[in-house]
Amino acid sequence: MDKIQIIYLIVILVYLAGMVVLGLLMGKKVKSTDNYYTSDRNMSAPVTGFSFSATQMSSGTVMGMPGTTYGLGYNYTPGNFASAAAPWFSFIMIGERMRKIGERIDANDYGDVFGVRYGKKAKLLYAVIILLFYIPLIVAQFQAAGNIMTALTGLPYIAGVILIGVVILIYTMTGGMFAVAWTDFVQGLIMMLGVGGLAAICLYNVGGFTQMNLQLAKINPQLVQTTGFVTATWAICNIISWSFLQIGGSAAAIVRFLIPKDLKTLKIAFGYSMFFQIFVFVSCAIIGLCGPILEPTLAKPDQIVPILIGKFLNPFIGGVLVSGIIAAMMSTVDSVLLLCSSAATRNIYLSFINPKATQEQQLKLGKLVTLIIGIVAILVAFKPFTAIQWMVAFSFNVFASAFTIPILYAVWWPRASKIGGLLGMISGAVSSLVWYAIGWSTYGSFANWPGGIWPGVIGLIVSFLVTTGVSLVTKPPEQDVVDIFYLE
Amino acid sequence: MKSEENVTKVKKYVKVPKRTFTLQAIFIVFVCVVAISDIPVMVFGLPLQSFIATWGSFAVLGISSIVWLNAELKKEE
Repeated sequence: MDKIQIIYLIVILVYLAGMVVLGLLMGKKVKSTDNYYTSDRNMSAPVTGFSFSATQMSSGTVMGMPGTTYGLGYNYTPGNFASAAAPWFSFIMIGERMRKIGERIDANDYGDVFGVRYGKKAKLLYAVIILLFYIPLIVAQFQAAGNIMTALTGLPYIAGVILIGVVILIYTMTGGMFAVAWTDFVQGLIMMLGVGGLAAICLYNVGGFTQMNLQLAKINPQLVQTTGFVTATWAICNIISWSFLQIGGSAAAIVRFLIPKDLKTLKIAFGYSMFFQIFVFVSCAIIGLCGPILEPTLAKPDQIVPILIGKFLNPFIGGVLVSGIIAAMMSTVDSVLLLCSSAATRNIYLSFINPKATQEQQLKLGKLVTLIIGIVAILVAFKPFTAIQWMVAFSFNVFASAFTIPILYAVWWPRASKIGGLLGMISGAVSSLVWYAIGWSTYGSFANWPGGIWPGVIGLIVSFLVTTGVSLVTKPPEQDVVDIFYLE
Repeated sequence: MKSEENVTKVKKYVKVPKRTFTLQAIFIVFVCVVAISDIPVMVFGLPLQSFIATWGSFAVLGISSIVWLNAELKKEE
Protein backbone atom coordinates (compact mmCIF):
# COMPACT_ATOMS: atom_id res chain seq x y z
CA MET A 1 0.00 0.00 0.00
CA ASP A 2 1.32 3.45 -0.87
CA LYS A 3 0.61 6.70 0.99
CA ILE A 4 -2.43 7.63 -1.13
CA GLN A 5 -3.99 4.20 -0.69
CA ILE A 6 -3.59 4.45 3.07
CA ILE A 7 -5.37 7.84 3.09
CA TYR A 8 -8.24 6.37 1.03
CA LEU A 9 -8.50 3.47 3.44
CA ILE A 10 -8.59 5.75 6.50
CA VAL A 11 -11.36 7.92 5.01
CA ILE A 12 -13.40 4.83 4.09
CA LEU A 13 -12.91 3.31 7.55
CA VAL A 14 -14.13 6.55 9.17
CA TYR A 15 -17.21 6.46 6.92
CA LEU A 16 -17.90 2.79 7.72
CA ALA A 17 -17.49 3.42 11.45
CA GLY A 18 -20.01 6.26 11.15
CA MET A 19 -22.54 3.91 9.56
CA VAL A 20 -22.07 1.35 12.34
CA VAL A 21 -22.55 4.00 15.05
CA LEU A 22 -25.69 5.30 13.33
CA GLY A 23 -27.06 1.76 13.05
CA LEU A 24 -26.38 1.01 16.71
CA LEU A 25 -28.08 4.25 17.79
CA MET A 26 -31.15 3.40 15.71
CA GLY A 27 -31.13 -0.11 17.10
CA LYS A 28 -32.38 1.26 20.43
CA LYS A 29 -35.72 2.09 18.78
CA VAL A 30 -36.38 -1.47 17.59
CA LYS A 31 -38.84 -3.28 19.85
CA SER A 32 -41.10 -5.20 17.43
CA THR A 33 -41.32 -6.38 13.81
CA ASP A 34 -43.33 -3.26 12.96
CA ASN A 35 -40.41 -1.14 14.22
CA TYR A 36 -37.96 -3.40 12.43
CA TYR A 37 -39.58 -3.49 8.97
CA THR A 38 -41.53 -0.21 8.66
CA SER A 39 -40.10 2.07 11.40
CA ASP A 40 -43.63 2.59 12.80
CA ARG A 41 -44.68 4.40 9.58
CA ASN A 42 -43.42 7.67 11.00
CA MET A 43 -40.52 8.69 8.75
CA SER A 44 -39.92 12.26 7.52
CA ALA A 45 -40.04 13.34 3.86
CA PRO A 46 -36.28 13.85 3.23
CA VAL A 47 -35.38 10.48 4.76
CA THR A 48 -38.16 8.69 2.85
CA GLY A 49 -37.29 10.34 -0.47
CA PHE A 50 -33.52 9.88 -0.24
CA SER A 51 -33.91 6.36 1.11
CA PHE A 52 -36.15 5.38 -1.83
CA SER A 53 -33.64 6.68 -4.35
CA ALA A 54 -30.51 5.45 -2.58
CA THR A 55 -32.03 1.97 -2.46
CA GLN A 56 -32.95 2.02 -6.12
CA MET A 57 -29.43 3.19 -7.05
CA SER A 58 -26.69 0.67 -6.59
CA SER A 59 -23.11 0.06 -7.65
CA GLY A 60 -24.76 -0.56 -11.02
CA THR A 61 -25.62 3.13 -11.02
CA VAL A 62 -22.36 4.70 -9.93
CA MET A 63 -19.93 2.19 -11.46
CA GLY A 64 -21.87 0.10 -13.99
CA MET A 65 -23.79 2.93 -15.63
CA PRO A 66 -20.77 5.20 -16.30
CA GLY A 67 -18.95 2.04 -17.45
CA THR A 68 -21.67 1.14 -19.95
CA THR A 69 -21.91 4.79 -21.09
CA TYR A 70 -18.12 4.72 -21.58
CA GLY A 71 -18.56 1.97 -24.18
CA LEU A 72 -21.86 3.00 -25.78
CA GLY A 73 -21.87 6.82 -25.42
CA TYR A 74 -25.21 8.47 -26.24
CA ASN A 75 -26.55 5.06 -27.32
CA TYR A 76 -26.95 4.42 -23.59
CA THR A 77 -27.64 7.83 -21.99
CA PRO A 78 -31.43 7.71 -22.53
CA GLY A 79 -31.16 4.88 -20.00
CA ASN A 80 -29.72 7.38 -17.49
CA PHE A 81 -32.72 9.62 -18.05
CA ALA A 82 -35.07 6.63 -17.74
CA SER A 83 -33.53 5.61 -14.43
CA ALA A 84 -34.00 9.14 -13.12
CA ALA A 85 -37.67 8.88 -14.12
CA ALA A 86 -38.24 5.78 -11.96
CA PRO A 87 -39.83 7.61 -8.98
CA TRP A 88 -41.83 9.69 -11.44
CA PHE A 89 -43.62 6.44 -12.35
CA SER A 90 -43.48 4.61 -9.02
CA PHE A 91 -44.60 7.44 -6.71
CA ILE A 92 -47.27 8.78 -9.04
CA MET A 93 -48.68 5.46 -10.24
CA ILE A 94 -48.76 3.44 -7.02
CA GLY A 95 -47.27 5.50 -4.16
CA GLU A 96 -50.42 7.00 -2.69
CA ARG A 97 -52.48 3.83 -3.12
CA MET A 98 -49.75 1.68 -1.56
CA ARG A 99 -49.55 4.01 1.44
CA LYS A 100 -53.33 3.89 2.03
CA ILE A 101 -53.71 0.16 1.46
CA GLY A 102 -50.56 -0.60 3.45
CA GLU A 103 -52.04 1.13 6.48
CA ARG A 104 -55.39 -0.64 6.11
CA ILE A 105 -53.92 -4.16 5.95
CA ASP A 106 -50.74 -3.52 7.99
CA ALA A 107 -48.51 -4.33 5.00
CA ASN A 108 -44.73 -4.49 5.22
CA ASP A 109 -44.04 -5.24 1.55
CA TYR A 110 -45.58 -6.32 -1.79
CA GLY A 111 -46.01 -9.80 -0.32
CA ASP A 112 -48.55 -8.61 2.25
CA VAL A 113 -50.44 -6.69 -0.46
CA PHE A 114 -50.45 -9.70 -2.81
CA GLY A 115 -51.52 -11.97 0.07
CA VAL A 116 -54.71 -10.01 0.78
CA ARG A 117 -55.45 -9.16 -2.85
CA TYR A 118 -54.54 -12.41 -4.66
CA GLY A 119 -54.40 -15.00 -1.86
CA LYS A 120 -51.77 -16.83 0.19
CA LYS A 121 -50.28 -18.67 -2.79
CA ALA A 122 -49.41 -15.32 -4.37
CA LYS A 123 -47.79 -14.24 -1.11
CA LEU A 124 -45.68 -17.41 -1.03
CA LEU A 125 -44.72 -17.04 -4.68
CA TYR A 126 -43.62 -13.45 -4.08
CA ALA A 127 -41.43 -14.52 -1.17
CA VAL A 128 -39.80 -17.32 -3.18
CA ILE A 129 -39.04 -15.03 -6.15
CA ILE A 130 -37.60 -12.37 -3.84
CA LEU A 131 -35.37 -14.79 -1.95
CA LEU A 132 -34.21 -16.56 -5.11
CA PHE A 133 -33.41 -13.59 -7.33
CA TYR A 134 -32.20 -10.96 -4.91
CA ILE A 135 -29.15 -13.03 -4.02
CA PRO A 136 -27.42 -12.29 -7.40
CA LEU A 137 -28.05 -8.60 -6.82
CA ILE A 138 -26.51 -8.65 -3.34
CA VAL A 139 -23.56 -10.63 -4.70
CA ALA A 140 -23.05 -8.07 -7.47
CA GLN A 141 -22.97 -5.27 -4.89
CA PHE A 142 -20.38 -7.06 -2.74
CA GLN A 143 -18.28 -7.69 -5.84
CA ALA A 144 -18.42 -4.00 -6.66
CA ALA A 145 -17.25 -3.25 -3.13
CA GLY A 146 -14.36 -5.72 -3.43
CA ASN A 147 -13.31 -4.33 -6.82
CA ILE A 148 -13.26 -0.74 -5.69
CA MET A 149 -11.46 -1.47 -2.44
CA THR A 150 -8.78 -3.33 -4.40
CA ALA A 151 -8.47 -0.66 -7.09
CA LEU A 152 -8.13 2.27 -4.71
CA THR A 153 -6.84 1.05 -1.38
CA GLY A 154 -4.81 -1.96 -2.45
CA LEU A 155 -6.74 -4.07 0.07
CA PRO A 156 -7.10 -7.70 -1.12
CA TYR A 157 -10.42 -8.27 -2.93
CA ILE A 158 -11.77 -10.75 -0.37
CA ALA A 159 -10.86 -8.49 2.56
CA GLY A 160 -12.80 -5.65 0.92
CA VAL A 161 -15.88 -7.82 0.45
CA ILE A 162 -15.76 -9.03 4.07
CA LEU A 163 -15.21 -5.54 5.51
CA ILE A 164 -18.16 -3.96 3.70
CA GLY A 165 -20.37 -7.03 4.20
CA VAL A 166 -19.83 -7.16 7.95
CA VAL A 167 -20.56 -3.44 8.41
CA ILE A 168 -23.84 -3.73 6.49
CA LEU A 169 -24.87 -6.81 8.48
CA ILE A 170 -24.18 -5.09 11.80
CA TYR A 171 -26.31 -2.00 11.21
CA THR A 172 -29.11 -3.77 9.30
CA MET A 173 -29.52 -6.51 11.91
CA THR A 174 -29.37 -4.05 14.77
CA GLY A 175 -31.45 -1.13 13.57
CA GLY A 176 -33.81 -2.57 10.92
CA MET A 177 -35.68 0.02 8.84
CA PHE A 178 -34.73 2.87 11.22
CA ALA A 179 -31.04 2.22 10.55
CA VAL A 180 -31.50 1.39 6.87
CA ALA A 181 -33.53 4.54 6.10
CA TRP A 182 -31.23 6.88 8.04
CA THR A 183 -28.01 5.36 6.72
CA ASP A 184 -29.54 5.52 3.22
CA PHE A 185 -30.19 9.22 3.79
CA VAL A 186 -26.58 9.90 4.80
CA GLN A 187 -25.30 7.62 2.04
CA GLY A 188 -27.47 9.49 -0.47
CA LEU A 189 -25.88 12.80 0.50
CA ILE A 190 -22.40 11.30 0.17
CA MET A 191 -23.32 9.83 -3.24
CA MET A 192 -24.47 13.24 -4.46
CA LEU A 193 -21.27 14.82 -3.27
CA GLY A 194 -19.21 12.03 -4.85
CA VAL A 195 -20.66 11.72 -8.34
CA GLY A 196 -21.58 15.41 -8.60
CA GLY A 197 -18.04 16.47 -7.71
CA LEU A 198 -16.45 13.99 -10.09
CA ALA A 199 -18.77 14.97 -12.97
CA ALA A 200 -17.89 18.66 -12.53
CA ILE A 201 -14.17 17.87 -12.54
CA CYS A 202 -14.50 15.67 -15.64
CA LEU A 203 -16.46 18.33 -17.50
CA TYR A 204 -13.87 20.96 -16.58
CA ASN A 205 -11.02 18.74 -17.80
CA VAL A 206 -12.58 18.03 -21.20
CA GLY A 207 -13.26 21.74 -21.77
CA GLY A 208 -17.01 21.95 -21.17
CA PHE A 209 -20.23 20.42 -22.47
CA THR A 210 -19.88 21.14 -26.20
CA GLN A 211 -16.22 20.13 -26.21
CA MET A 212 -17.15 16.85 -24.56
CA ASN A 213 -19.56 16.06 -27.39
CA LEU A 214 -17.19 17.19 -30.15
CA GLN A 215 -14.29 15.14 -28.78
CA LEU A 216 -16.52 12.12 -28.30
CA ALA A 217 -17.59 12.35 -31.96
CA LYS A 218 -13.90 12.51 -32.99
CA ILE A 219 -13.16 9.25 -31.15
CA ASN A 220 -16.10 7.55 -32.87
CA PRO A 221 -19.08 9.33 -34.49
CA GLN A 222 -21.37 6.51 -33.31
CA LEU A 223 -20.74 7.58 -29.68
CA VAL A 224 -22.89 10.71 -30.13
CA GLN A 225 -25.75 8.84 -31.84
CA THR A 226 -28.67 7.23 -29.95
CA THR A 227 -28.51 4.06 -32.07
CA GLY A 228 -25.77 2.32 -34.03
CA PHE A 229 -24.01 0.36 -31.31
CA VAL A 230 -27.51 -0.72 -30.25
CA THR A 231 -30.63 -1.45 -32.31
CA ALA A 232 -33.79 0.67 -32.20
CA THR A 233 -35.67 -2.01 -30.21
CA TRP A 234 -32.80 -2.21 -27.71
CA ALA A 235 -32.89 1.58 -27.28
CA ILE A 236 -36.65 1.52 -26.64
CA CYS A 237 -36.35 -1.36 -24.16
CA ASN A 238 -33.55 0.52 -22.38
CA ILE A 239 -35.89 3.49 -21.81
CA ILE A 240 -38.99 1.50 -20.82
CA SER A 241 -37.13 -0.92 -18.57
CA TRP A 242 -35.28 1.60 -16.41
CA SER A 243 -38.32 3.86 -15.98
CA PHE A 244 -41.76 2.23 -15.96
CA LEU A 245 -40.58 -1.27 -15.07
CA GLN A 246 -39.01 -0.02 -11.83
CA ILE A 247 -42.51 -0.33 -10.36
CA GLY A 248 -42.00 -4.08 -10.16
CA GLY A 249 -38.24 -4.19 -10.52
CA SER A 250 -37.38 -2.17 -7.43
CA ALA A 251 -39.46 -3.98 -4.82
CA ALA A 252 -36.96 -3.11 -2.09
CA ALA A 253 -37.28 0.62 -2.80
CA ILE A 254 -41.09 0.58 -3.10
CA VAL A 255 -41.32 -0.48 0.55
CA ARG A 256 -40.43 3.15 1.32
CA PHE A 257 -43.98 4.14 0.35
CA LEU A 258 -45.10 2.44 3.55
CA ILE A 259 -42.85 4.33 5.99
CA PRO A 260 -43.76 8.06 5.80
CA LYS A 261 -46.03 9.41 8.52
CA ASP A 262 -48.81 10.56 6.14
CA LEU A 263 -49.74 11.12 2.50
CA LYS A 264 -48.51 14.71 2.41
CA THR A 265 -45.11 13.55 3.66
CA LEU A 266 -45.06 10.91 0.91
CA LYS A 267 -45.70 13.53 -1.75
CA ILE A 268 -42.98 15.83 -0.44
CA ALA A 269 -40.69 12.80 -0.34
CA PHE A 270 -41.32 12.43 -4.08
CA GLY A 271 -39.82 15.91 -4.57
CA TYR A 272 -36.65 14.99 -2.66
CA SER A 273 -36.40 11.73 -4.55
CA MET A 274 -36.70 13.37 -7.97
CA PHE A 275 -34.09 16.02 -7.14
CA PHE A 276 -31.68 13.32 -5.96
CA GLN A 277 -32.31 11.05 -8.95
CA ILE A 278 -31.89 13.74 -11.60
CA PHE A 279 -28.73 15.08 -9.95
CA VAL A 280 -27.05 11.66 -9.69
CA PHE A 281 -28.05 10.32 -13.12
CA VAL A 282 -27.02 13.52 -14.94
CA SER A 283 -23.68 13.26 -13.12
CA CYS A 284 -23.25 9.58 -14.04
CA ALA A 285 -24.01 10.33 -17.70
CA ILE A 286 -21.38 13.10 -17.78
CA ILE A 287 -18.75 10.88 -16.13
CA GLY A 288 -19.42 8.06 -18.60
CA LEU A 289 -19.32 10.41 -21.60
CA CYS A 290 -16.08 12.09 -20.48
CA GLY A 291 -14.49 8.68 -19.81
CA PRO A 292 -13.36 7.81 -23.35
CA ILE A 293 -11.81 11.30 -23.71
CA LEU A 294 -9.93 11.25 -20.40
CA GLU A 295 -9.02 7.53 -20.35
CA PRO A 296 -9.21 6.30 -23.95
CA THR A 297 -7.64 2.86 -23.47
CA LEU A 298 -9.50 1.22 -20.63
CA ALA A 299 -9.70 -2.58 -20.56
CA LYS A 300 -12.45 -2.73 -17.92
CA PRO A 301 -15.01 0.10 -18.43
CA ASP A 302 -16.60 -0.69 -15.01
CA GLN A 303 -13.41 0.76 -13.48
CA ILE A 304 -13.76 4.20 -15.07
CA VAL A 305 -15.05 5.92 -11.93
CA PRO A 306 -12.34 4.77 -9.49
CA ILE A 307 -9.66 5.41 -12.13
CA LEU A 308 -10.86 8.99 -12.71
CA ILE A 309 -10.99 9.58 -8.96
CA GLY A 310 -7.39 8.39 -8.65
CA LYS A 311 -6.30 10.54 -11.60
CA PHE A 312 -7.83 13.91 -10.71
CA LEU A 313 -8.40 14.23 -6.97
CA ASN A 314 -6.30 14.66 -3.89
CA PRO A 315 -6.53 11.56 -1.69
CA PHE A 316 -8.73 13.04 1.07
CA ILE A 317 -11.42 14.29 -1.34
CA GLY A 318 -10.97 11.14 -3.42
CA GLY A 319 -11.60 9.07 -0.30
CA VAL A 320 -14.91 10.85 0.25
CA LEU A 321 -15.90 10.21 -3.37
CA VAL A 322 -14.96 6.55 -3.08
CA SER A 323 -17.11 6.39 0.05
CA GLY A 324 -19.94 7.72 -2.13
CA ILE A 325 -19.61 4.74 -4.45
CA ILE A 326 -19.49 2.32 -1.54
CA ALA A 327 -22.53 4.14 -0.11
CA ALA A 328 -24.49 3.43 -3.31
CA MET A 329 -23.76 -0.24 -2.94
CA MET A 330 -24.49 -0.36 0.80
CA SER A 331 -27.79 1.49 0.55
CA THR A 332 -29.07 -1.15 -1.85
CA VAL A 333 -27.79 -4.18 0.02
CA ASP A 334 -29.19 -3.12 3.40
CA SER A 335 -32.68 -2.62 1.94
CA VAL A 336 -32.59 -5.86 -0.02
CA LEU A 337 -31.47 -7.77 3.07
CA LEU A 338 -34.34 -6.27 5.03
CA LEU A 339 -36.82 -7.15 2.28
CA CYS A 340 -35.56 -10.75 2.10
CA SER A 341 -35.84 -10.97 5.87
CA SER A 342 -39.42 -9.69 5.72
CA ALA A 343 -40.26 -12.15 2.91
CA ALA A 344 -38.95 -15.11 4.88
CA THR A 345 -40.30 -14.08 8.28
CA ARG A 346 -43.71 -12.58 7.54
CA ASN A 347 -44.62 -14.05 4.15
CA ILE A 348 -43.43 -17.61 4.79
CA TYR A 349 -42.86 -18.31 8.51
CA LEU A 350 -45.74 -16.29 9.96
CA SER A 351 -48.20 -17.11 7.16
CA PHE A 352 -47.51 -20.83 6.64
CA ILE A 353 -45.40 -22.29 9.45
CA ASN A 354 -46.18 -20.56 12.74
CA PRO A 355 -49.07 -18.06 12.52
CA LYS A 356 -48.98 -17.69 16.32
CA ALA A 357 -45.35 -16.62 16.48
CA THR A 358 -44.72 -13.87 19.01
CA GLN A 359 -43.19 -10.53 18.08
CA GLU A 360 -39.98 -11.63 19.77
CA GLN A 361 -39.78 -14.85 17.76
CA GLN A 362 -40.44 -12.99 14.51
CA LEU A 363 -37.80 -10.41 15.32
CA LYS A 364 -35.20 -13.06 16.16
CA LEU A 365 -35.96 -14.99 12.98
CA GLY A 366 -35.88 -11.80 10.90
CA LYS A 367 -32.40 -10.95 12.16
CA LEU A 368 -31.21 -14.54 11.67
CA VAL A 369 -32.41 -14.58 8.04
CA THR A 370 -30.63 -11.27 7.44
CA LEU A 371 -27.43 -12.79 8.80
CA ILE A 372 -27.68 -16.02 6.77
CA ILE A 373 -28.42 -14.30 3.45
CA GLY A 374 -25.64 -11.79 4.08
CA ILE A 375 -23.06 -14.50 4.82
CA VAL A 376 -24.10 -16.59 1.78
CA ALA A 377 -23.83 -13.54 -0.50
CA ILE A 378 -20.39 -12.64 0.90
CA LEU A 379 -19.14 -16.19 0.28
CA VAL A 380 -20.49 -16.28 -3.29
CA ALA A 381 -18.94 -12.87 -3.96
CA PHE A 382 -15.47 -14.26 -3.18
CA LYS A 383 -15.31 -15.35 -6.82
CA PRO A 384 -15.26 -12.14 -8.86
CA PHE A 385 -17.30 -11.82 -12.05
CA THR A 386 -17.34 -8.95 -14.54
CA ALA A 387 -20.14 -6.72 -15.89
CA ILE A 388 -21.82 -5.61 -12.67
CA GLN A 389 -24.54 -3.75 -14.51
CA TRP A 390 -25.74 -6.90 -16.26
CA MET A 391 -25.93 -8.90 -13.03
CA VAL A 392 -28.09 -6.17 -11.54
CA ALA A 393 -30.16 -6.20 -14.73
CA PHE A 394 -30.80 -9.96 -14.38
CA SER A 395 -32.48 -9.66 -10.96
CA PHE A 396 -34.24 -6.49 -12.01
CA ASN A 397 -35.77 -8.00 -15.16
CA VAL A 398 -37.21 -10.99 -13.30
CA PHE A 399 -38.83 -8.79 -10.61
CA ALA A 400 -40.13 -6.32 -13.17
CA SER A 401 -41.70 -9.13 -15.20
CA ALA A 402 -43.29 -10.80 -12.21
CA PHE A 403 -44.57 -7.86 -10.17
CA THR A 404 -45.24 -4.76 -12.33
CA ILE A 405 -48.67 -5.68 -13.74
CA PRO A 406 -49.97 -7.56 -10.64
CA ILE A 407 -49.15 -4.63 -8.33
CA LEU A 408 -50.62 -2.03 -10.70
CA TYR A 409 -53.82 -4.05 -10.95
CA ALA A 410 -53.82 -4.70 -7.19
CA VAL A 411 -54.09 -0.99 -6.50
CA TRP A 412 -56.16 0.20 -9.50
CA TRP A 413 -58.26 -2.59 -11.10
CA PRO A 414 -61.01 -4.17 -8.96
CA ARG A 415 -61.74 -6.81 -11.62
CA ALA A 416 -58.27 -8.43 -11.33
CA SER A 417 -58.90 -11.89 -9.91
CA LYS A 418 -56.90 -14.05 -7.51
CA ILE A 419 -55.94 -16.58 -10.16
CA GLY A 420 -55.24 -13.79 -12.68
CA GLY A 421 -52.77 -12.10 -10.35
CA LEU A 422 -51.06 -15.38 -9.45
CA LEU A 423 -50.69 -16.53 -13.06
CA GLY A 424 -49.57 -13.04 -14.07
CA MET A 425 -46.66 -13.28 -11.63
CA ILE A 426 -45.71 -16.80 -12.73
CA SER A 427 -45.99 -16.13 -16.48
CA GLY A 428 -44.05 -12.86 -16.21
CA ALA A 429 -41.13 -14.40 -14.29
CA VAL A 430 -41.01 -17.59 -16.42
CA SER A 431 -41.20 -15.79 -19.78
CA SER A 432 -38.41 -13.46 -18.71
CA LEU A 433 -36.19 -16.40 -17.70
CA VAL A 434 -37.01 -18.27 -20.92
CA TRP A 435 -36.01 -15.16 -22.89
CA TYR A 436 -32.69 -15.04 -21.02
CA ALA A 437 -32.17 -18.74 -21.88
CA ILE A 438 -32.95 -18.09 -25.55
CA GLY A 439 -30.47 -15.21 -25.53
CA TRP A 440 -27.83 -17.46 -23.98
CA SER A 441 -28.38 -20.33 -26.44
CA THR A 442 -28.38 -17.94 -29.43
CA TYR A 443 -25.57 -15.55 -28.54
CA GLY A 444 -23.76 -17.27 -25.64
CA SER A 445 -24.43 -14.17 -23.51
CA PHE A 446 -26.89 -12.98 -20.86
CA ALA A 447 -26.74 -9.46 -22.30
CA ASN A 448 -27.98 -10.15 -25.85
CA TRP A 449 -31.49 -11.19 -26.88
CA PRO A 450 -33.32 -11.87 -30.16
CA GLY A 451 -34.33 -8.60 -31.83
CA GLY A 452 -32.68 -6.63 -29.02
CA ILE A 453 -35.85 -7.04 -26.91
CA TRP A 454 -35.09 -7.09 -23.18
CA PRO A 455 -36.41 -9.95 -20.99
CA GLY A 456 -38.25 -7.49 -18.75
CA VAL A 457 -40.26 -6.16 -21.67
CA ILE A 458 -41.16 -9.68 -22.83
CA GLY A 459 -42.18 -10.54 -19.25
CA LEU A 460 -44.24 -7.36 -18.97
CA ILE A 461 -46.19 -8.11 -22.17
CA VAL A 462 -46.81 -11.75 -21.22
CA SER A 463 -47.79 -10.84 -17.66
CA PHE A 464 -50.16 -8.13 -18.93
CA LEU A 465 -51.90 -10.52 -21.35
CA VAL A 466 -52.17 -13.36 -18.83
CA THR A 467 -53.28 -11.25 -15.82
CA THR A 468 -55.89 -9.38 -17.89
CA GLY A 469 -57.19 -12.38 -19.84
CA VAL A 470 -57.40 -14.77 -16.90
CA SER A 471 -59.01 -12.12 -14.66
CA LEU A 472 -61.77 -11.49 -17.19
CA VAL A 473 -62.78 -15.17 -17.38
CA THR A 474 -62.44 -16.05 -13.67
CA LYS A 475 -64.32 -15.11 -10.52
CA PRO A 476 -63.87 -11.47 -9.45
CA PRO A 477 -62.58 -10.71 -5.93
CA GLU A 478 -64.90 -10.65 -2.88
CA GLN A 479 -66.61 -7.34 -2.08
CA ASP A 480 -64.74 -6.91 1.21
CA VAL A 481 -61.40 -7.16 -0.62
CA VAL A 482 -62.60 -4.62 -3.19
CA ASP A 483 -63.59 -2.27 -0.36
CA ILE A 484 -60.20 -2.56 1.35
CA PHE A 485 -58.28 -1.87 -1.84
CA TYR A 486 -60.41 0.57 -3.81
CA LEU A 487 -62.40 2.72 -1.39
CA GLU A 488 -61.14 6.29 -1.31
CA MET B 1 -87.00 6.69 13.31
CA LYS B 2 -84.74 9.26 11.86
CA SER B 3 -84.63 9.29 8.07
CA GLU B 4 -80.80 9.25 8.06
CA GLU B 5 -80.79 5.72 9.49
CA ASN B 6 -82.46 4.41 6.31
CA VAL B 7 -79.96 6.02 4.04
CA THR B 8 -77.19 3.65 3.05
CA LYS B 9 -73.80 5.34 3.04
CA VAL B 10 -72.62 5.70 -0.57
CA LYS B 11 -69.23 4.08 -1.07
CA LYS B 12 -66.75 6.15 -3.00
CA TYR B 13 -64.19 4.14 -4.96
CA VAL B 14 -60.94 5.36 -6.44
CA LYS B 15 -60.80 6.44 -10.07
CA VAL B 16 -57.76 5.84 -12.24
CA PRO B 17 -56.11 9.26 -12.88
CA LYS B 18 -56.34 8.77 -16.63
CA ARG B 19 -55.06 12.23 -17.56
CA THR B 20 -51.87 11.87 -15.50
CA PHE B 21 -51.19 8.33 -16.69
CA THR B 22 -51.82 9.30 -20.32
CA LEU B 23 -49.42 12.24 -20.09
CA GLN B 24 -46.78 9.95 -18.59
CA ALA B 25 -47.28 7.44 -21.41
CA ILE B 26 -47.13 10.14 -24.10
CA PHE B 27 -43.87 11.50 -22.68
CA ILE B 28 -42.11 8.15 -22.53
CA VAL B 29 -43.32 7.17 -26.03
CA PHE B 30 -42.09 10.56 -27.30
CA VAL B 31 -38.62 9.95 -25.85
CA CYS B 32 -38.57 6.46 -27.40
CA VAL B 33 -39.55 7.83 -30.84
CA VAL B 34 -36.93 10.59 -30.64
CA ALA B 35 -34.25 8.11 -29.52
CA ILE B 36 -34.70 6.00 -32.65
CA SER B 37 -34.99 8.99 -35.02
CA ASP B 38 -32.25 10.49 -37.14
CA ILE B 39 -32.59 14.29 -37.17
CA PRO B 40 -30.00 16.12 -39.30
CA VAL B 41 -29.61 19.07 -36.91
CA MET B 42 -26.68 19.57 -34.54
CA VAL B 43 -26.83 21.33 -31.15
CA PHE B 44 -23.88 21.66 -28.74
CA GLY B 45 -21.93 19.27 -30.95
CA LEU B 46 -24.70 16.65 -30.81
CA PRO B 47 -27.34 15.34 -33.20
CA LEU B 48 -30.69 16.78 -32.05
CA GLN B 49 -32.16 13.36 -31.19
CA SER B 50 -29.28 12.64 -28.79
CA PHE B 51 -29.71 16.02 -27.12
CA ILE B 52 -33.48 15.67 -26.67
CA ALA B 53 -33.46 11.98 -25.65
CA THR B 54 -30.89 12.70 -22.92
CA TRP B 55 -30.63 16.29 -21.70
CA GLY B 56 -34.03 17.54 -22.89
CA SER B 57 -35.75 14.60 -21.23
CA PHE B 58 -34.01 15.32 -17.92
CA ALA B 59 -35.29 18.92 -18.11
CA VAL B 60 -38.88 17.90 -18.87
CA LEU B 61 -38.75 15.35 -16.07
CA GLY B 62 -37.66 17.98 -13.55
CA ILE B 63 -40.25 20.54 -14.62
CA SER B 64 -43.14 18.06 -14.77
CA SER B 65 -42.24 16.76 -11.31
CA ILE B 66 -42.41 20.27 -9.85
CA VAL B 67 -45.76 20.91 -11.58
CA TRP B 68 -47.26 17.63 -10.32
CA LEU B 69 -45.98 18.15 -6.78
CA ASN B 70 -47.34 21.69 -6.58
CA ALA B 71 -50.74 20.56 -7.81
CA GLU B 72 -50.85 17.68 -5.31
CA LEU B 73 -49.81 19.86 -2.37
CA LYS B 74 -52.48 22.41 -3.26
CA LYS B 75 -55.03 19.56 -3.18
CA GLU B 76 -53.81 18.58 0.28
CA GLU B 77 -54.39 22.13 1.54
